[in-house]
Amino acid sequence: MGSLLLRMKGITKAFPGVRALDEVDFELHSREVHGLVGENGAGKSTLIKVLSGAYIPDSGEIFLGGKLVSMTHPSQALDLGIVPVHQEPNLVLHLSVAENIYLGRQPRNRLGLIDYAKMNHDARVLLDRLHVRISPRNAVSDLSVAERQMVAIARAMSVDAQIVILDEPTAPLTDHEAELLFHAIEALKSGGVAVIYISHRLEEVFKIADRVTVLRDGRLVGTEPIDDLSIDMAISMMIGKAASGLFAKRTVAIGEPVLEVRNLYKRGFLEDISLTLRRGEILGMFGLAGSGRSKLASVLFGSESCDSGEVLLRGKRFQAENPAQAIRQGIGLVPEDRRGHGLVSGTSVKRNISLPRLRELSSVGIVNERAERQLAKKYVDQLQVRTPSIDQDVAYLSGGNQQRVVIAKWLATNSAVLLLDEPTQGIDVGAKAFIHSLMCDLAGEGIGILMISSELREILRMSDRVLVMHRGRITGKFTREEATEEGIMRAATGED
Amino acid sequence: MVNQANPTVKESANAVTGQFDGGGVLDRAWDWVRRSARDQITLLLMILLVVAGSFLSPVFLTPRNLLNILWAVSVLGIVALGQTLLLITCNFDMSVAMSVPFVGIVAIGLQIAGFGLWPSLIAGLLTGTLIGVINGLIVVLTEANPFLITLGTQTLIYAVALILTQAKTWYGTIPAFNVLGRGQAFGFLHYSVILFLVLALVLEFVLRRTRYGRYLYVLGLNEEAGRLSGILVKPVKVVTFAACGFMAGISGLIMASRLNSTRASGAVGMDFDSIIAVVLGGTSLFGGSGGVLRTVVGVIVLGILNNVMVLAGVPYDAQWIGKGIVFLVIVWTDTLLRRR
Amino acid sequence: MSEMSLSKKLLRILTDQTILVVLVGLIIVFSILNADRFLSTENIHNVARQVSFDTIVALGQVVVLIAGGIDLSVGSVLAMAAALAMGLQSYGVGIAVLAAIGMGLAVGTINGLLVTKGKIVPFIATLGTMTVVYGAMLTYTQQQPIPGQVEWFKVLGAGSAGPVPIPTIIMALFVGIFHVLLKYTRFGRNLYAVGGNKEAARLAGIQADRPVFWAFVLSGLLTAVSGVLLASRLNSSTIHMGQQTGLLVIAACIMGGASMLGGRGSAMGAFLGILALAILTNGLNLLSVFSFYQTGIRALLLISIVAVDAFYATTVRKRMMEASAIGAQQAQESAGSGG
Repeated sequence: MGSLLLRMKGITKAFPGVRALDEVDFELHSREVHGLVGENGAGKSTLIKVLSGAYIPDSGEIFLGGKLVSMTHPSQALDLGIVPVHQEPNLVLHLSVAENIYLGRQPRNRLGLIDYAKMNHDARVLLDRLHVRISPRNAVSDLSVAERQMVAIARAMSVDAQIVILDEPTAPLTDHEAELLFHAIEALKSGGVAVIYISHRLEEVFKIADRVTVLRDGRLVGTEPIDDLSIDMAISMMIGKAASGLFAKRTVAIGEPVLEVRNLYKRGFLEDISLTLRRGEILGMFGLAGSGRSKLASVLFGSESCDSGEVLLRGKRFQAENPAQAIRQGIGLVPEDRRGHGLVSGTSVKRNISLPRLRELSSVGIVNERAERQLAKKYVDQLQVRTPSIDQDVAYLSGGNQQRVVIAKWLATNSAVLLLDEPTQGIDVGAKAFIHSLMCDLAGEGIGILMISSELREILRMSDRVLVMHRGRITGKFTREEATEEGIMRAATGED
Repeated sequence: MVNQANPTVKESANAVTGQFDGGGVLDRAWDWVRRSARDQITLLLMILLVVAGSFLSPVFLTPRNLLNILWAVSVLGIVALGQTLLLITCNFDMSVAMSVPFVGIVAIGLQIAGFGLWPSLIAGLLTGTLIGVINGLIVVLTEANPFLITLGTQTLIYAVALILTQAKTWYGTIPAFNVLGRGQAFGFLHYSVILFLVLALVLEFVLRRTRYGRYLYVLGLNEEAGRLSGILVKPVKVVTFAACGFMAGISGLIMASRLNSTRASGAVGMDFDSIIAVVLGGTSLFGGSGGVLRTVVGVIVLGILNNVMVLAGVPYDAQWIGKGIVFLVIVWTDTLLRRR
Repeated sequence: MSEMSLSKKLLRILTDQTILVVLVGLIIVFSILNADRFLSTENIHNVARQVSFDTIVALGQVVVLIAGGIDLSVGSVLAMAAALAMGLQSYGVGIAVLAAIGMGLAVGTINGLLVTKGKIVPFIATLGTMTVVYGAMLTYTQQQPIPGQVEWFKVLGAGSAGPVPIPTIIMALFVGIFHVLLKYTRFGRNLYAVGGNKEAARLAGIQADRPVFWAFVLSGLLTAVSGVLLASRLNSSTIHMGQQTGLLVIAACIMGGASMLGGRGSAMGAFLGILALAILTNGLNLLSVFSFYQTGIRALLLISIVAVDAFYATTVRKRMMEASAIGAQQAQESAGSGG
């Protein structure tokens, strides 16, 4: 580890209803790999976005190399040598590796023309330092994700980055590729670069990091040298005392199976997925980024195809080639990207809610507007959507209310099975509790709910049973009594 | 509250928390102003034109002249109605410039070959619809740029039309055929105008009150959300292309009937004109908004524009310039107002 | 680096070098069908001359396509340039030519501004300018052809230096220049970057607007040059010039490797695409295929090219997502769940 390079002091960042960061201190030395861990919502992403210039902190200071810096735009951070490397790096696919590394800065010869020989050679040197066996002449489109990450890292090296930020880099990688990534990180380190490594995969963090910082609920829990910590200690720091829920789940009678999935297989995404969901049951699906949960939901909803496997809905064979069929047979999906995929901005609340049910609301193709109005009113009331009128354009509603409209829409379909993909992500605490209560009501009416969530606490609080996915497989099954944070985390990180 | 100097912050904030500070009365008011500003430009244009027209000729404001204008634009108008449906879903049909005359060729061709009036009419409508279906299938199955594809089919239809007619004009053989394009009800209201207005009303009803109409707007606003809400995207799009083709069919029959003749290049420029008419009326090129009644207004304004230019002695060629500039101005304001 | 199987490599060659395959195919077919006329020096000479005019326009178009745009105004600009080059000759041939080229630059600039500053979608913007210029051209020419006033002006378009037609030499020069521009200058590479992945370009510090703007200017310039040459060849201008050009040139560029999505294409590819289409027309002509049928064949070709390009783009895009499968999908997932 080298000398002190970066110091973030007292960083606070709040958004409406949420305190993402609360007086966080963070320190980084050159030649250091510094792990940043914490649960979903702990503030890791926000801290990184502040550092890379995407957010301006409400208060706090950032010192780089001893000097106070203030950034209002990501390009400024890049100029200062702070380089974030994304999981899916932003590269120009049809250009070569070398060109991507030197994009906009290609070396030129005396005539002012691009010197490809030199560019390829310099790129080769960088790639060798990272121990990467790719030819600089290859088009990026031919590369795997792992290789593209390497290109992004090589690019960071070529701009003499001081700080490289890796956010969940190994999620799309195989174990072997991850090993190569670690070698590359070592190379970066010996080159004098400081690396911030964010990951849920604690065993990885413990393998390569020199120090670890744990965040929880927007606050700094602690920064320790890796040798002074064990994974279990880190986990307990991340989790802290399980908050005595603002909300206690009501018990609901659980009936017979409403959804049975057998050996679902989708090449590259899902392997041998089998599960049973019962009426009135809330089945929690936990998994880290890349585990395949959302893919499973998409496949069940008919939004994507699968290669083999069988699904039974209410005992009858279920097959959906598109969402329309799935909805008709009784499955609904509240997508993760609610505002992008769940709502039609530019149309009223009423029309958004009625959209999946238009067929039932129309006769001879003509929409029964009175019935539609009644339907919309009913669910707007039930979900307490705050809007001046149901004819209001959803674009004008606040985020939390937009959320409710999306959920209202799916409630209105009277589905037998509801797939909820991150239902309370990005919502403030009050609204969260409301949605949870709603879920219990729905379960009480006999609907089977599959709840995908990355929030351990939510999973523990709400689920009757918990399934854990890791790399496309189900790696853990827990009943409500059996489920513990550690157990679930282990299954999710592939420990067990 | 949020640092306005840094838009990324706002968006990122939204992404993280799902909250956004939209909904303020000021925001809504401003949006309303922006949208109506667009309509007001068209209105202003129309007023200017009417004033210029009455200046140029005492005959301009007479009911007779106005009905004439309506008659003149009804062919374009019907095509523009179909084009509106497509534009709402963010698609185009440029092939109308050649499919309209082609329908006439088919119809008159059948008449010449000895078939009766009704078979020729039906064949014409089928031809138009079929062309629409083909356009739709290609665009939907390949997800290609509808503009280029339909320009391609336009050329193809032109080629077929030329081959069939050997670039000659064909003349209709059944006198009753003229009634469609030239006949008048009550002695003054042309059938084609009635047809145009009735179709407009029907389509407006479809857009506002039917399931299909709703789907069109959703597809234009957020296709993916629509798909995930159960809209069968591909069939809906193909049907819309077919509908536009059907409209082109009706127009083609009217046009052929008016002149009692048809030739391959009879409707050059109709592709561009129909889009201008739709855009003038206020339907957005970005899809998701607008309607056919607006297009009727746009068509009428275009008709008045043509009439005024003729009265002012503006040569045919220069009319292209005028239309092109109007088009650009409208599109520019459309883009300005659409960017949030 | 993942080893590519033989079949994959073949497919790659086929898709990357489709144009060569098509070209060779066409040459073979017509040579068989009509050897003595098709392969005669006279015919080759004619074809060589014929391709020059469209190739120059195509070079401009490919630059715009690479940057992610499209220029539909080329047909009208071509006709207008020809008209000005002929019509203004009473002020001197030099002035006339300069005016024509100036007009091309002006239209290109307007296109560039409409797209970058006005933020209007390229094909709508150029559709608009196409109409305006078309109208201007019709007005200026009074719908009449304009004869040239000096005989020697024909040399540019109709003359030959030995066995090689002069416009071909000019074309070759431009192809060379643009090949170097696109491959060996930062400006050229920035075009690919902006067209291929605007965000990545931005992150690399490239301002998206400038390359796009200049692309349109270049397109206008080149089209005007071609118009002047074309007028010189006939020593007159007609109002029908350029009517098919727009579509033809776009199809040729796409055949040569460009894509509607941007980020791909080359000068050589543009030339080869035009060559292929010219050989097709030439071959059909020699076989006395009626011109109407030719129009139809060309239209079919255009549709297929655009359709296949789009289909390829969407399925390849999908396949690329699947290949970096777990990655892409997980990127979406974690975009939401990153804490």
